[in-house]
Amino acid sequence: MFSKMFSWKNSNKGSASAAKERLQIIVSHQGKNISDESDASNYVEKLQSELISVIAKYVKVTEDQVKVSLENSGKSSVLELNVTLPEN
Amino acid sequence: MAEVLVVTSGKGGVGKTTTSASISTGLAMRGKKTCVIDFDVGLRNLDLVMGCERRVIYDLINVIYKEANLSQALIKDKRYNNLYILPASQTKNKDALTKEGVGIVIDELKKDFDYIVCDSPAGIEQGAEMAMYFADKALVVANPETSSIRDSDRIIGLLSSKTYRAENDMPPIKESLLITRYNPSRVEDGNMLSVDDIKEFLSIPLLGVVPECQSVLDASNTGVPVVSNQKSDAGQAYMDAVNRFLGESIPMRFVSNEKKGFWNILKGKFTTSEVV
Ligand SMILES: Nc1ncnc2c1ncn2[C@@H]1O[C@H](COP(=O)(O)OP(=O)(O)OP(=O)(O)O)[C@@H](O)[C@H]1O
Ligand SMILES: [Mg+2]
Repeated sequence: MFSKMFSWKNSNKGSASAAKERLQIIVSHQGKNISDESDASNYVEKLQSELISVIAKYVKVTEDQVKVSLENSGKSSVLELNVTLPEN
Repeated sequence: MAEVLVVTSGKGGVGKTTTSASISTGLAMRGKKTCVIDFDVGLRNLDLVMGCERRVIYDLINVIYKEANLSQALIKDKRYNNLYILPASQTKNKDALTKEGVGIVIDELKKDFDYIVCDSPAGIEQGAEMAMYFADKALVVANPETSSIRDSDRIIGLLSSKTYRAENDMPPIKESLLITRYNPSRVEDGNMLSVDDIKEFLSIPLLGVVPECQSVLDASNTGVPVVSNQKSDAGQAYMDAVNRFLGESIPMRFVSNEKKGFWNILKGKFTTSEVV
């Protein structure tokens, strides 16, 4: 039900909100001190691909059936994992 | 003390050359002796945007390989006598840029100039690396697009690791962000990332916002950097950025649809109803 609400909200918010959601995963420097890290790529991106391979061990899922999103809310970030399980 | 500024982005076509031309011209307009170098070896464009393409005889690569003196390769701008252009070679490729060679050229320029602006090529390879290597400051140019922001993020990482300052434990390069091709009305419709969104993703200080503007094409058509056209929004936005770069604090303009006069509201109503 919640996901329904969200997707409705997103489609009404225009394409910028989709862009923000996607960038949250791939951009590594937000809210961080840039100088503390060289060009190590963002861990969320790695985390996403590792999660996919772990889930794929147990259920048959493709990449686009697993969605990881990172939502910043004040001091903490919420990591959300959405897995669409196949019908059968 | 001379300062080296790299204009970089990772992604291609976001406005680095447009920005290098206008920032260097703007600095010259403000009385600073400025040299702008094209690092896009093999695909030079800066000469066209600066309107000096017919005066190119020698280039950066000739100077590096001692086939010409620096003074023979530098082109004096027609409009501002404290502005010089060092063009890129059109025939060689980026591997011809060596750290030693570029270092010698920049050291020599530092003796004579207040600012040295380096127009980086796209990508993260040799050309881009050489353009940023000796920088004291960096201007990261980004468009309000996911691909551009990811690339900027990558470039910010490289600035703090693969540069002279980083390798020699010196104070880090001072980075700032320039958002170009911004369209406030699309942001208000929710179809373009906003300045605040982009700032949050990249978390480096914002130097300016340049709107999407027809006058940029007019400027490159005529070979007169858009900053010289103070009637245009982009020209004013670039001059604001130059003034902020020189330490002035000026409020951001062109970030929202401010011109909400009677006629504009009416016009807006008509255009939206047409679209819908
Ligand atoms: N604010 C703007 N409004 C409209 N058009 C713009 C603006 N800024 C840049 N452009 C256009 O975008 C195109 C690319 O600009 P430019 O050559 O400066 O990008 P670049 O980053 O140097 O590209 P490259 O990576 O190929 O070197 C040009 O056609 C230019 O006229
Ligand atoms: Mg360019």
